[in-house]
Amino acid sequence: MTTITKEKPVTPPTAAKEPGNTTTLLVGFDFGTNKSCILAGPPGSSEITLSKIVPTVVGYAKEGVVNDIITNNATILFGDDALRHMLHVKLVSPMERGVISQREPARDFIKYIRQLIDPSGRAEIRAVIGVPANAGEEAREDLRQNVTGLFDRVLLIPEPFLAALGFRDDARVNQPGYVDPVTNSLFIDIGGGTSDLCLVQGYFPTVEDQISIPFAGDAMDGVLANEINRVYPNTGLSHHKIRELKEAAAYVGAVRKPIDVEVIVGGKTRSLEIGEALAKAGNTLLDQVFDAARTLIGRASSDSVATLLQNIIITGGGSQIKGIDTVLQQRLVDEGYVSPKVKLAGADYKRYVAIGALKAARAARENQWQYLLA
Amino acid sequence: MDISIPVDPLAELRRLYRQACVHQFAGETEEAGSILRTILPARIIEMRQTGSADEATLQQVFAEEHRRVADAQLFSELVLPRLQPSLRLGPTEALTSSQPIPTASRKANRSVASEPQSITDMLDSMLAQDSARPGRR
Repeated sequence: MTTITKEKPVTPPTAAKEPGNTTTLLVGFDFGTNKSCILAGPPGSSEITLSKIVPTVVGYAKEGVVNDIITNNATILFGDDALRHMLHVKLVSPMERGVISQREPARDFIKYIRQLIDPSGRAEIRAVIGVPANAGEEAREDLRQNVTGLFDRVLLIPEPFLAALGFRDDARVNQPGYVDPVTNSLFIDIGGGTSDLCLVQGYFPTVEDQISIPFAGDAMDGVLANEINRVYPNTGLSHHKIRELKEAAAYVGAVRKPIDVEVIVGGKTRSLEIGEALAKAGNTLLDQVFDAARTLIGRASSDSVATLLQNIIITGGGSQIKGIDTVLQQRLVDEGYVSPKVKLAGADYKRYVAIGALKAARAARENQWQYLLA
Repeated sequence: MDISIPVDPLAELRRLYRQACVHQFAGETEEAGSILRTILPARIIEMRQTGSADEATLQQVFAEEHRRVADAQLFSELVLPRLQPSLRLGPTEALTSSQPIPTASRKANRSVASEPQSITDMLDSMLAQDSARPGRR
């Protein structure tokens, strides 16, 4: 069930709480620009009661939609449901560049998330929420306000640091030969709205240990769309289609041609060659990530940098760009860095921030949780 | 009537360097840079010319002020979260900071921990940094 119906309007679940009758649920919440990941479970256990990835999108039903076109005649849809009904709803993305850009839709989305976590509406929700590295106080305050009344206590933690915690295999930390990413690594989390880089060196990263670049998947879409429009004017491809093309074929490095794709333009099939456009989009991102990586490597102490260079880890949706690990590594080699090794986080790249957030939630002391003051 | 009090050049130098460190702590890198790049060098040249301080004294002054600021950072990291652990702090928190001291010093002082801190300890550090965040309401 991913809809909210007219018959069952969403009310702040905390209103239903009864004193003395509440359970607590811990939540790891990666509130992403394009996709959000939520993990939840009770404290004092490793049980996971919810594990879900939801496209961060809200669909408001358009006026005059015929009855039963939308399941249960819902007025607001979320995630995949909203995307499936894109013809019949006004799609709104509440997040932009990693932070809330539209408050009401963001609030609606979080209400929906709250309902997923705790359908009873009675639990006390304590959530660790990922924020972009170096997120400003205004963005943090926006987030706090949006979750007030829906979550009970929160901690806001930079996403790349959470990704490192999530990527760490706790069962192997004490095994010989295991390289603990939390000890000394450079994490690069390329998401939809921002690319976040973070030195993780065994302590909580300082402001100087983190760089957030407002160029990531969405900005790549923009470059790709511009390039396609330049070569093939008036194709009228939607954002959705552009993203689909990028996700299927994005790469970095030397131009690969031809990369032919078929799209529908004006009801007719048309073949477009987009090899060069994809290269421009990918390499623009790579240039920025490379510069930021260089800056952070330069900030690492001289006695840690050699090991650090062995542990450069790329996660987030950007880790799926073909060649991003090898090309970034080669650029570091060309720049003279000693034996750098760039790795991809792997199949769970969408979940590491939320996994790390849930680990942090489980480790947080009672007095570390922040209250939300209405 | 001129009632200005003569300023001890060394004390003034000490104050300026400490101020630069405090600015840096508060994330005010422009202000810190302005002192470190312009005001401070001029004072040092003046003192060298007048012979009012030798190199060793200058180095000692910088080291002492640096240590005081580092101590303040440690204090804020360790004690602040325990003082107001679960409440969002008020405006006074902007008076303290745990942001990094100038990069060159930080690089020398903060190498990789031999054992990573526990997540709980890292959260303490994070909360101390949060409470010192410029613009925090």
